[in-house]
Amino acid sequence: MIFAIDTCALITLQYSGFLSTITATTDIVITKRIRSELEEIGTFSDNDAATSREILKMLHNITIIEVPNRPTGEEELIEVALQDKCDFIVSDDIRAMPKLKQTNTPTLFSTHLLYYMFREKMISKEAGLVALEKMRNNRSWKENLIYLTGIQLFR
Amino acid sequence: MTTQINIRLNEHLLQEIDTVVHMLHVSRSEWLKMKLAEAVKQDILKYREALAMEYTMGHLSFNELQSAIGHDAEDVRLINEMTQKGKKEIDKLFGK
Repeated sequence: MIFAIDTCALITLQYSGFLSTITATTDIVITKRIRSELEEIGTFSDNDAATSREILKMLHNITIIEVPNRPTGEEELIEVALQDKCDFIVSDDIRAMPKLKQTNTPTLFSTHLLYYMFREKMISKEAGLVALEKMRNNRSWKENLIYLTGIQLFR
Repeated sequence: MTTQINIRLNEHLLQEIDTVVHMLHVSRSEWLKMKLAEAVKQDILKYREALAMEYTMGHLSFNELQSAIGHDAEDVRLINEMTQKGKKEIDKLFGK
């Protein structure tokens, strides 16, 4: 399975503590724009910045796909999907969903990757729930809702 | 449209309310309406995650959620639908 993940979802998955496991065991693809977004966020001094810098150190396990330049990472992921270079798009950006739905590629939340790991028996149910709680921190209430709703995946 | 409701308050609380409304030069009714509206807004902000969760668990209808949190209810519905749809996609990979 190939997962194309946007910047926000990558950062959230790093907060969960499982991004390194995901990148080591599954095929993750991003685009140059997403790498640039991580580099840009990484220049700041908050938690997201530190997390972005950690993700940039994992790039040896992440494939960067060449696509035509688009204004946002999400739009470049649509190009990845249109080129049939991923099975799923992963994004927690609710505003981007109408655009992402333009492709026939299923769109998942970052929480679904935890569920995928759970189904693959890579993590326990308890570890998944703890990870969701970590993802919930430092986010807006709607993003938090994605992680709260994610609890249902493990029921 | 407005609806009249009757509430009973203890004497001491009523005296305090009247002191405040006298000082502010507003009617008791106007002041109480304003304070109730403020309290409801604050509680909705405070409990919106809980309200959304009640909806995703089927304990609250979409209309009830919408009347509490307005347009944000659409996003809550989208998140809930996408979570369920995504779960089915992952389950398909594992043959359910």
